[in-house]
Amino acid sequence: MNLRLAYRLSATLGALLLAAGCQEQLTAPGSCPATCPGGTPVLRDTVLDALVGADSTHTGYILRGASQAGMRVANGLVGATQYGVVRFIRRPDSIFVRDTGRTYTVDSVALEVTLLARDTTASGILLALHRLPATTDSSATFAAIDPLVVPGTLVDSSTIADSVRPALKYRFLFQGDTLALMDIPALDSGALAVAVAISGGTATGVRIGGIGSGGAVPIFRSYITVNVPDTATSVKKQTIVRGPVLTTFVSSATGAAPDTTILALGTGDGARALIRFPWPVYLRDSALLARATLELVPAAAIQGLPGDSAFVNVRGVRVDFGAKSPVGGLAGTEGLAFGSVDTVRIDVISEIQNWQLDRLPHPPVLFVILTPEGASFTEPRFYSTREPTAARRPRLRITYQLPFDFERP
Amino acid sequence: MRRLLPIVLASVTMFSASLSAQSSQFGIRGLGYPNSPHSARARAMGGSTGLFDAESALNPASLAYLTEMTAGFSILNDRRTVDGPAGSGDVRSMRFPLFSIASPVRRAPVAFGISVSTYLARDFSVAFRDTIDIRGAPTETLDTLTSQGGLNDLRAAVVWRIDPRFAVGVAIHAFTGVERISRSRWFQDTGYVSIQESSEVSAAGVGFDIGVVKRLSTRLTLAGLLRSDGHLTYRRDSLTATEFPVDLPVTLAVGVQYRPSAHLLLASHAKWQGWGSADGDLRAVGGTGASDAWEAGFGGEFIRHLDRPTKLPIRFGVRHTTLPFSLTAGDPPSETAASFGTGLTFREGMGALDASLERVWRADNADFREQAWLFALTATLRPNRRSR
Repeated sequence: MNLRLAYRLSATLGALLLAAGCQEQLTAPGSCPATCPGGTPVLRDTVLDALVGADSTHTGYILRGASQAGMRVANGLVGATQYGVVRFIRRPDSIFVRDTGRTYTVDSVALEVTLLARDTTASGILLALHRLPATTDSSATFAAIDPLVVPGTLVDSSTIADSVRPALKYRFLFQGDTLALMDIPALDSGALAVAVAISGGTATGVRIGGIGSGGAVPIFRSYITVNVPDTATSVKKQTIVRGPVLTTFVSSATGAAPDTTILALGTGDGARALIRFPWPVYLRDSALLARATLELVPAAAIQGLPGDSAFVNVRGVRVDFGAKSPVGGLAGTEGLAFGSVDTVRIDVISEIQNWQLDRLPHPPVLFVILTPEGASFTEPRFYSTREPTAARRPRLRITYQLPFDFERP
Repeated sequence: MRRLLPIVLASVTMFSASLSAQSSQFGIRGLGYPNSPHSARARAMGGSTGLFDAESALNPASLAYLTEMTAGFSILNDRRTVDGPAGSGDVRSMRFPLFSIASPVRRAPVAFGISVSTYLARDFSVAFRDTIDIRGAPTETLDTLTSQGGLNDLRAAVVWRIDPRFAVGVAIHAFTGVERISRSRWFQDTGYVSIQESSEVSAAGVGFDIGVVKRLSTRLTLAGLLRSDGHLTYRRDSLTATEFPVDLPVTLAVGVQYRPSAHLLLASHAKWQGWGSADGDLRAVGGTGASDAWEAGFGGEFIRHLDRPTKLPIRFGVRHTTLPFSLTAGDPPSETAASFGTGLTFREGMGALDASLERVWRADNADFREQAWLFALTATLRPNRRSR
């Protein structure tokens, strides 16, 4: 073997070794206790009962009917009749064309409402619009609106076809003979208000878009001919589009009397529950958390609109300021089963891990929020810590592992 | 050499952080898998020439017959099949078990050397599958326990050639190292999050040894070693409360090297390590204990070309060792190896490359076994271009 050959051989060997070195694979099957230095990890399960008297329901997070969830409309669902109420931004009596305010003639009017949720098993639902006084505002009550939802105020209606899926936009067009129904008296200064109601053979409900529903907001369109000496269609024929200035809903159901043994969620005002827990040192300092589940016991069967899912969301708080605590990210969510009285369990491990942080740990507080908030027909009620039966109170079930004895040979 | 000293010390420090030897499942319990600081040449001969080999870091007296400054660097490729009650697995790894540099002092019968080698290797990763009852429901879990690191042996040796036939060497050993251990657990039920935990276990200690090499004739050479490794203090995450001491062994080793002809060199060695001294300390902290370890090896080197003895000689050897740390108490495993290898020099002896291939069988009396192919390569540099 000459020297050059030796060089080549060593270079090849080196390359082979490097290639082999890049393929490190150290894992082999093990079996305890023989190949378990430090022993077997110990898992434990513990239950933390919420601090008695430190939980409460808070409302006012949502302007009724103004949330993304829209407005509730019902004809007896869960024993309540509910109407959606919409007042549009005022329509001006003139518009500017070529820097001059000009009057116009209304050719036709269209009102658009968007269906957000419905019970697909309920058929023959009639979606109806009733004219309301232009003075209708957010203080409207069911007692004030209900007498106005009568055949005499009906301006149009449409049957929701069985095949219709949510997010369908209903367009009510008024022209010719029906245009007079949309006349706005001069005294109303261009303000238009309508009530949305449903009727049908079965008690049901729908959700329609409100002022916070993005592309599903109610729309009031006026197709006009401008009084201008110009024959161009694009100048004479114009459209005035107005969105809502108010969307709300009213219900025949009277609010339940305040009950400190109950944590109520949902409602038109967006009720949320704040629950505080003890946080023992053995969990804070050294436990390795595997699972944390918030358990809430319903005080009554969960009700709602079939086909319109409702979820319980749980969030932590950054600082405990009570009702106004700044909430953190979503810790867990769980769907609610209608008719069920089973304990609702929500895994919230991501937030409980924040309670262990060395720097700026979150306080051991959970905010329980219903989604969709503000207009869901589901209004779950859970037992609070003031409930005399301890087993019904809110609690956290935590599964954790004890620190491993790495130094044990 | 004086100018090279800072470079040498920097190299030693750098390598001490990254060295580790091939690991074994028989190093999972106890302190780790004990490494023999052999060069590829000594490995190829069953470790039998380790007490005479200047490129191995076993006997300080072996540095006596160096003719010039010599630096050696070893790499080791390990491919292993592991069998246990939980099943089989194929494992492969690449390690750097030995780095050494040594030099004679000009016009003085003295040589010195520094080496860094793996003392106890604790590189492993084992996975467990189990089903446990949590919240009243059986849940499947997958656990992984991984350790990287071990204990390194930083040796500083001095040897005195009393006469051309007899040399005595002494060395001081500093043992230091860190094991980075982590444990992970995954749950089949996605309601549970995985758990990860990691820790650093460090240890430090000091030991001494004295070795001799005696050339009885041109054909026969003897070597001996007496070594005391003192004791180690283990500590997790720098927490004083987790400290525990471990008595390290006293080692006795003897070797003989015989050259029946110019073409053939035969060698044999025997080594006893009193690891039983660590038994009580390990059991006290929940380990499976330790027991004394024996090693015996035999090997040879056949020189094909007497005019160029370093050109591809044929080396062979066998070795049997009992391992000190058992997986189950009172059942020390053993290791048997058969090896062969060769080597060559470059650039008129300026560089050399030795290679060895070992087939290793390890087993205890229970159900744990493993077979490995170990491929070792030692690169040697002699800047002054004098041959061995």
